[in-house]
Amino acid sequence: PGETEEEQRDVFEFEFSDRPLLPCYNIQVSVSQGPRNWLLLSDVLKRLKMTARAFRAAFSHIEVATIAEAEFYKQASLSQLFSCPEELEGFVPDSKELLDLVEFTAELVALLGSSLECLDTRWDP
Amino acid sequence: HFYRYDEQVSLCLERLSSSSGKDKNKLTLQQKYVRCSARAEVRHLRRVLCHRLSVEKHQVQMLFNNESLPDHMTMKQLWLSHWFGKSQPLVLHYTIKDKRGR
Repeated sequence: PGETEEEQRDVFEFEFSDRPLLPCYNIQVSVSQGPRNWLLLSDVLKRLKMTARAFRAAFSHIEVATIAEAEFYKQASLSQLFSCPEELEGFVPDSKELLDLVEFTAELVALLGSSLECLDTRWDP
Repeated sequence: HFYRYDEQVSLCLERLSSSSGKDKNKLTLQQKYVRCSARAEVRHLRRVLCHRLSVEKHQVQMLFNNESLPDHMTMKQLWLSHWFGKSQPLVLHYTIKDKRGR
């Protein structure tokens, strides 16, 4: 809060949690926007112990993006940070299934019980 | 700058401490799982820890395998050089030095 997107500032955000974090995937879901960070809706629902229907009713303003599992796998597996085979084991590389993604935002962070710390590098001597 | 669209790394920050004094809890992160941009540097992490634990910058040291990490190393460099092929989160250690009387 208080951070406006128009200002060109060097701000790093740090998410802090007392529970292991849900995996976050850097994915480009449409040609009109660059890569962004997403969580799997199924992971979020599990953590919140909610059904998809209840989630959409309670947070109708949170956009859910859909991507083909094959495309998701292709992009996720390109990341050097997902170099451990087990981490993408649950996904089928050539699947036509669709996956629901929720954008990783400050609101979602708060929803999951994490706290956000912003570091403005302009204050860095 | 929009670091928020950067690739993110997932860390687990464990405190290395031999002391078991009354400060132990105060100087240990209650929320030890941390996510940040892969472009964040060790010095940024140190700054955030200082803020979280209300200590001064020179008191915080970040370590991996008992080796102190250089301030300008990015999380991505750290990941590729020390954690490649392992699953998330990357486990880092920190120490809090006693405040020296001035």
